[in-house]
Amino acid sequence: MAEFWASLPPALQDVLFALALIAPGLLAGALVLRGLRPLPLVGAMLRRFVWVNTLFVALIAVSVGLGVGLLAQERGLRQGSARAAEKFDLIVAAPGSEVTVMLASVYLQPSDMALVTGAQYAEIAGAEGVAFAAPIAFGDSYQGAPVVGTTVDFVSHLAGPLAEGRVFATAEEAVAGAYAPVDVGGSFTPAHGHGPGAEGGAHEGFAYAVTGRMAPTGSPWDRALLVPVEGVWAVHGLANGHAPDDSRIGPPFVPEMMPGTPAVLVHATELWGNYALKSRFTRNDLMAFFPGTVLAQLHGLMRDVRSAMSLMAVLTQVLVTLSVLIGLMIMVRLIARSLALLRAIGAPLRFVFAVVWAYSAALILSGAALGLALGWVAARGISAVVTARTDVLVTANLGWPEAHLVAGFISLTLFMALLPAWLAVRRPLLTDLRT
Amino acid sequence: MRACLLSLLLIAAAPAFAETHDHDDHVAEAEGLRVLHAWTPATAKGADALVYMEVENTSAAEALLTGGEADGQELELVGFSYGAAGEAWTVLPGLPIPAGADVDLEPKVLALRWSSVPMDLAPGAELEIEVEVGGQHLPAHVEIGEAGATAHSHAGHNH
Repeated sequence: MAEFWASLPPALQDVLFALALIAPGLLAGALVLRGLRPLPLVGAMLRRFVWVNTLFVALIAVSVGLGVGLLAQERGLRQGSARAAEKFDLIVAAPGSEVTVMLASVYLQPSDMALVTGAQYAEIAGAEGVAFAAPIAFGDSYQGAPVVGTTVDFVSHLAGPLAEGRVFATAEEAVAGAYAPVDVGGSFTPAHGHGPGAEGGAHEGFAYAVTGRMAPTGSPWDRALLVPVEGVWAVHGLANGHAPDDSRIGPPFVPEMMPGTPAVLVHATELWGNYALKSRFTRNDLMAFFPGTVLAQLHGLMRDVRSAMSLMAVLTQVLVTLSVLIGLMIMVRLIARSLALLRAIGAPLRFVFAVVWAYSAALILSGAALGLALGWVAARGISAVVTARTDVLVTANLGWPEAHLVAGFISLTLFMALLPAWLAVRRPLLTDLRT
Repeated sequence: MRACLLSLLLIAAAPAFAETHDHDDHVAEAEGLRVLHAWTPATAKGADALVYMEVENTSAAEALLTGGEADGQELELVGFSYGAAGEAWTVLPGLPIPAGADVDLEPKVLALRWSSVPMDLAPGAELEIEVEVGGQHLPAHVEIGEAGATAHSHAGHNH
């Protein structure tokens, strides 16, 4: 059975799982309503208590919407952060924390780091199977946007063809990220450091002219300003990686003239080459890692949190529905005389049972449907806020996990709705008629 | 009498032999190529098992790691990737291990994949495989860990 299930396409597995979740509730409904037509009466009850019903539906919708929105948002954030790291095949840095280096080089959260030396860089760049090795030198900023020193190869690798203009050709030129605060044709003087403590006048007299703009990447690099790494070294009064009479930019660098770089992005000529290079540069004086692996491990650690979130979402929904059903039980007492009249004029007990159950089911299904819509709106709204705050493009859409959550919720609560229906038919007929 | 003494000696020595055997189980070696600490998480029948290990090349020539064999079935060398679409393992044609170097096949990086295992791989049980490296077929003893294991039980030991 497990083998058969594993052989099915994932989409079919999702459909079948959703059907399996919702089937018990639908089956219960089919059994309760079989051969009866209680819907006209249910419609009348919905119209008669329109405000109470609206409140019940809203309560269910908010609880379902919260659960759905949270799940969709968590997945969107996970996918967005993974998408942002996709272009970073292999990072080589000085030994330290892989997480810190990943946050600094992929998500541009600067940190104090030891440098890869010129000799080490030359060894990496010259290794067999390396298509290019791009220094990633960060630390400066402009109006809050990180200024990162790198090479032309990195710009092309990260964002493909430029959306506008051309790539930098001298140490005083720059390429702007898609949403960086300088337009093509403009210029800027970098501040030393970043954040409120950045020293605005530290690099006075030096300016980069922006010659091009990258296409959006969905990563924090969209807000960055990319400059030749030689510019970063020169602006800090260091050697620029080349002989004094050599004004060109880009590799190869002269190891003795290269001040070092916090991280190096390595792109291999072949896929397998990345794994060989990782093994080669994992040693005492260097650290090589795949950002994708670190991210997958971090996301794996969050799996338990995700499960807890799903459970809490279901529990919240069930608790809200329970309180709605308790409200319905009280309401059944209020309409007890009407139900007793129904029985007195010959309606079978099963019909009264079906009316009360169908009334509850209508509230549950309306609340769940509205909750899905609310969850979608909430996920989109939160995504926009998270994208603005982190510069990681987060797009949260509803998927199968949310469908499974709602299907499970509907099934469970349709079963719970049998309780008020059962209590309604157990009421003493004569007492209710005299009330 | 002599037979009794010999039996007693054998019984007394058994734990020592067992200890040596346990440690040797973690290492397979031939012509300068060593496979250490092979392990896999517990896997249900029909699912794909990922086998991890350390491969050392102490020979004077580069050796190519290409895959392996288990229970008559092929073990593919696969590399991990992670992106917006989620986790993926891609089959690699081979991985060169330079002379004097070593390669770690580790979770979410590199592994030998045994597709659709024909039996349950239960925690605590053991598995015999062959690792194809440098033209050699190295027999390796695979420890089966818990389903969520992230390392061999002797990880960090220098055998």
